[in-house]
Amino acid sequence: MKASVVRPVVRAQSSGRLNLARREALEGYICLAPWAIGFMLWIAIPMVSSLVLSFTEYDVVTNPKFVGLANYDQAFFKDDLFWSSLGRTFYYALLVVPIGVVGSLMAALLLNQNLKGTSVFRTLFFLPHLTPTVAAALLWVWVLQPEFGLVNYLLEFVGIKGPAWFGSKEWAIPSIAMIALWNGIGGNRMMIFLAGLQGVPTELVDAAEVDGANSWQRFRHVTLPMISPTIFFNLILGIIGALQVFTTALIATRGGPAYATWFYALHIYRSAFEYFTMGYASALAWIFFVIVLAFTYLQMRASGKWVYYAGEEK
Amino acid sequence: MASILGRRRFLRSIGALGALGTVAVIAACGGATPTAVPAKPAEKPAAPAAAPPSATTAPAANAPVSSGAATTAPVVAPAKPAEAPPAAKPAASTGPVNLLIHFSDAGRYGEFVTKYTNDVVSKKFPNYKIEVQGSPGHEEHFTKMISQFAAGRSGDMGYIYPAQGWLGMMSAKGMFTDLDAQAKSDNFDLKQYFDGAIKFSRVDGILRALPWHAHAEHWTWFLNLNVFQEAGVKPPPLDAPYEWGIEQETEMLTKLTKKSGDKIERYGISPKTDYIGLFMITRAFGGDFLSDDGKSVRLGEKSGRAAMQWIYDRMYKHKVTPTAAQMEGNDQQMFIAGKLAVIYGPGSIGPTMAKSIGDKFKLGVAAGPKGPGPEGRLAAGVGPNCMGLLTSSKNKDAAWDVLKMHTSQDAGVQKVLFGAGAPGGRPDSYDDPKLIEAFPGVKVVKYQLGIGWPENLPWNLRGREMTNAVQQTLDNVWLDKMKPDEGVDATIKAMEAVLKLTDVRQDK
Repeated sequence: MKASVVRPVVRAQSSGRLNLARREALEGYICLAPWAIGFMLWIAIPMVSSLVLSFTEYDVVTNPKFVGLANYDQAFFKDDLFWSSLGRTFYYALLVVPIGVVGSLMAALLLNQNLKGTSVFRTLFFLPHLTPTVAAALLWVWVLQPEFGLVNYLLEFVGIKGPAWFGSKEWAIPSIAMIALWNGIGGNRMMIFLAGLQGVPTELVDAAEVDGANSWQRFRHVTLPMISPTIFFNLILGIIGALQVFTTALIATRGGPAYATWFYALHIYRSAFEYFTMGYASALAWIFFVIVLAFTYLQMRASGKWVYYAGEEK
Repeated sequence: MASILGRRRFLRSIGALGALGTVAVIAACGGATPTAVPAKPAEKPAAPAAAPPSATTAPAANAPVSSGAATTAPVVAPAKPAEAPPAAKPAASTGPVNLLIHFSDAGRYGEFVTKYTNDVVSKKFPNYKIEVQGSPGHEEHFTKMISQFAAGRSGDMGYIYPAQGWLGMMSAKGMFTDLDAQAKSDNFDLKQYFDGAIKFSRVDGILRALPWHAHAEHWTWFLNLNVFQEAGVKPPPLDAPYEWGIEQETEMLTKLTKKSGDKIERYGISPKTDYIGLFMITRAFGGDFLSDDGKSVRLGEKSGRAAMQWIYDRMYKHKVTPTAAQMEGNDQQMFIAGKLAVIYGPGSIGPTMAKSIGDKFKLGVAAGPKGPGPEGRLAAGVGPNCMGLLTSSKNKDAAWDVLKMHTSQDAGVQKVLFGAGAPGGRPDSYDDPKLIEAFPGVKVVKYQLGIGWPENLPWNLRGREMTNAVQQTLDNVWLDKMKPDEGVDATIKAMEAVLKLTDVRQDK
């Protein structure tokens, strides 16, 4: 008798909790839905579709024809431009990433000095980042013009005969790297570093100063470790961004001269939208995805050795 | 407690939806094509190029022109009085018709087509509502048109050119209608157009587009006559007979090149190192890049090697052509600014440049020279830029009406007067007195179109791949990273690799 009296009370209480839990879950999923739908439509479905298409011969207009691993075989063993364009892309990343990260950090350090006019300088540093890439490329074609461009004109004043820049096999990639650095050093990366620097506890810096550390020692042993997560973040994004170099090469050099700026992303673009070998372009894109993923994974594994997260135990 | 909204169930639902979506996307790929891909051609070789004029029919111009020997220029038939064309069908429809034209905005082409449509075509066909959709450049336009076609969103007509295999590639994908059938049903006379332009607009023997304009590829020479006068140099013939020999070029260009200390203030001639410019000079030397059937590479022949050496010598031996490092903007900009005495290119740049040049100097137009030695010949290309009927059109007869108007004699004249490139792909446009008055040099281009023949395309219609392979590889020569013979060998290898690629026509 007691049990039958107790049970209905328990059942009423638990169904009230279920309704609340369900409602909260439903509200959560509704809030997630825009992201989830966008993710499905614009990222997940296209990615999986391109993976399937990478096993086909597909020219956009007619139906895809299954060819198995032929596209991957073409990429690895038959396409001369595959390896050379990968090499050029990594060379470019090697130029841009270290200089870009160090440059952005130095700019952030300057802005972190709390001197008069900092906000003006912050704006000036950030302005190049706001220039659209295509406009920047067209502008720099003229700035780097070998005969009458500004850079060679100034170099002549100090007795240096400037190179042909975009017109030179050796200097084409450094020219594009220069544009990327001009655009990127004072950009979001600098702002992220600035935020990181402003998060360094001042008491640690003061304690180091009291202990007799000079400015370099304070920077090396206090500031750098404290901003190592920020450096790591910028490094990962910087590498991924650099490996995707495309727009400037398309606008300024069209992949030349003599394939000097025929980067991997440009190779994908030409295969897809000029030659209409969409299946092959999909295979190239997936190979690149795996390479970048592997690279990122290695960096994450290595980060344990040099990235310090406040509060973690080692 | 099991919940119908558990995380795992939610994720499984998302995954299932995603898989369904992926299947739908894959199934939709390529499904928009309303017609089958054209079947492979039969035993006949697929090359659209006509045979070049043979040496025996070439004018007797083996003696250098400067010796004053009488030469017989190939006779360009005087413009016949305009004959009434055979009676065409009446307009396709009197009810309202919506038409969409895809065009490139480069060179003000799209702007002109819009204007001509509004001012002329729409007045003749007031019930046709015609929209012109532009893209910023030719290649962007082609990419957009193909993508729209694939998505089932393309219209009725599209701008296209056969050079570098674009028309062939798109026709192989079933994008352009058979215009032979259309012309036949309408008693439309295709002989109104330049022979070579019609030949080049055929793909595997079937006409796929009508010439909207035509030029003699990149072998029309534009001269700064003031500079010739200043240097005391006789220019190449500006009036018939137009033949002259390339042997005269070196001395001529050396005198035209002006130095100031170490610096060269004005060069003799532009570096024409794009694909079309290179194969044109090779033709003048008696060769070509590809065989007539497009199956083998001819660049390695004596003529091809000599042509590449010639261009290299202009840059590094005689120093009459700027290298990439010495260019100041592009060649047209340098020419207009007086830093180049001569440039050569498509005839379409002449009328446009004339407006920019204005009174700065007197512009002369000459035909490209005959190559040296017994193999040398008068060469010219035929480069029509066309309009075709898309197979996606739901109003083919109405679109045909509009296509005929846009490729008419009048449109061919108006576009030059408007500033949109070369005259129409037909002799009667070139003969128009208004055009000749506005730009006298058109008579030279007309002569070249009369002797020219189409580009030899690769057998597999991989024109874009071929263009990039040749240009990028030979760049090593123009940058002096390879000597011409070495560069030619490397380019042959790259070209042969392209010829090994699959045929774009293959059935799917």
